[in-house]
Amino acid sequence: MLNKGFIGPIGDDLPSLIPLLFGLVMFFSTFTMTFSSFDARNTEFGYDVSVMRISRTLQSNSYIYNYNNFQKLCDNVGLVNVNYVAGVSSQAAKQEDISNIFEVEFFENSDGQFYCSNVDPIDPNALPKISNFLSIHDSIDETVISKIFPLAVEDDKVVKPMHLFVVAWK
Amino acid sequence: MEMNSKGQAAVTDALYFLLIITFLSVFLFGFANSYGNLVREQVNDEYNTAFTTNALKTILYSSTPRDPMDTIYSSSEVDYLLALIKEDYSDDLQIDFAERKVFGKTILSVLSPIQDTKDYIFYIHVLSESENKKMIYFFIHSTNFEKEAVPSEGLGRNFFIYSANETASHNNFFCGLTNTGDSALSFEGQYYIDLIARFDKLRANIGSVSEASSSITLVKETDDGDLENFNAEVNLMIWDATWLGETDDRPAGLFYQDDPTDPDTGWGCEDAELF
Repeated sequence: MLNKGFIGPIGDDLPSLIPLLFGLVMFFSTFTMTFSSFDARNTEFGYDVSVMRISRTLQSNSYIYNYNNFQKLCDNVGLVNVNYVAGVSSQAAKQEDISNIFEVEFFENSDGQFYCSNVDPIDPNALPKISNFLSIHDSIDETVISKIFPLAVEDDKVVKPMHLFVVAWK
Repeated sequence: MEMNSKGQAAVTDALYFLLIITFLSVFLFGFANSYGNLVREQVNDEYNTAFTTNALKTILYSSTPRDPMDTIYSSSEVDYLLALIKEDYSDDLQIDFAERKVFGKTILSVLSPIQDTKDYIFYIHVLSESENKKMIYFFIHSTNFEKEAVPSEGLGRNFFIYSANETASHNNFFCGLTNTGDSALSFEGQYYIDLIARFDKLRANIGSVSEASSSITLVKETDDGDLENFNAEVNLMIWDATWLGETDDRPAGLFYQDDPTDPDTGWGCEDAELF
């Protein structure tokens, strides 16, 4: 009589194993998700820090007095853990209609084109545009960070208001 | 009897275990969602501050055409913007309409990347104790919101949709002026104090603000005909575009009542007519 319903030591604990396993699956799923999210955000912050480093170096004191000065600032950027293209454009200051950041053209004078990058342009003969380094199409698969800063650029003894565009991706 | 109770105890233990795991999972989920929000905010604040500081420096460094209808890209005669302002201010202690426009155009061009999402105020004032406290220049760029009521009977309060006007999405004003056009005089004395009070109220109600300020030296002609230097302060304040009129919780508007094109008279504004 005492053994009524008893189906063995494991068989008796079988119903308790269901919530136990469910709990373990739930815990490890949440733990994995938390760890992935933690890791992804840390990586994002790493990119942000790199972009801030590039921006700070290129902004300098917000005044670029000639092409050589800009190139020196570019040389100071050094190694960063993201692909980037950064350059000066006068389009926004001229109130020109720019459909998106990829269509921004870099400023150019008789000394050279005011941009620098750690990747090669897609077409070296094309206009110095952001899309010649990263197209809208390619950007879909990348983590892209863009920043804009006002800058004063001296060109032909006239100090022109312009903007520094920094686009970084990984 | 004892044998039959064993299985029930194991299930109860498992349910307690599940309960603890659920609490842990909720905690972990919450942590995962909120992790980095503070850092993200700080990164954004850092960017906004850097943008505002750079914008102010760029405005002050820039050259400008002598002719207000021209641009620096086409003008044959350019000057430093601050030199132009100094020169214009020194004789009659006012910035004339043409120079106000030149200044306004430079500010608009420097801040053009954020003009659709942010509103801003650029102003120069004298707050030194040794001089008359005075507003020298005040330019405001604000979004031309249209307010549309949403049917909300029985919801306990009114709801509105605010959207930028499609034809004229923004308004630009010169403020702190007693008249319009070239005869305008800048606010000083009690008018200046009242304007600063309105301005402080606006600043306290518009949420997160990025500010940059700098000291500049201006020149004035004394009664003897000599030139005398004095210090003024130049400020730039940028915030997320928001409705500055009246709301259910705020019967008096911050800058206008219901029509963003019609600022309250106490601000002493006139349309900048930059285009």
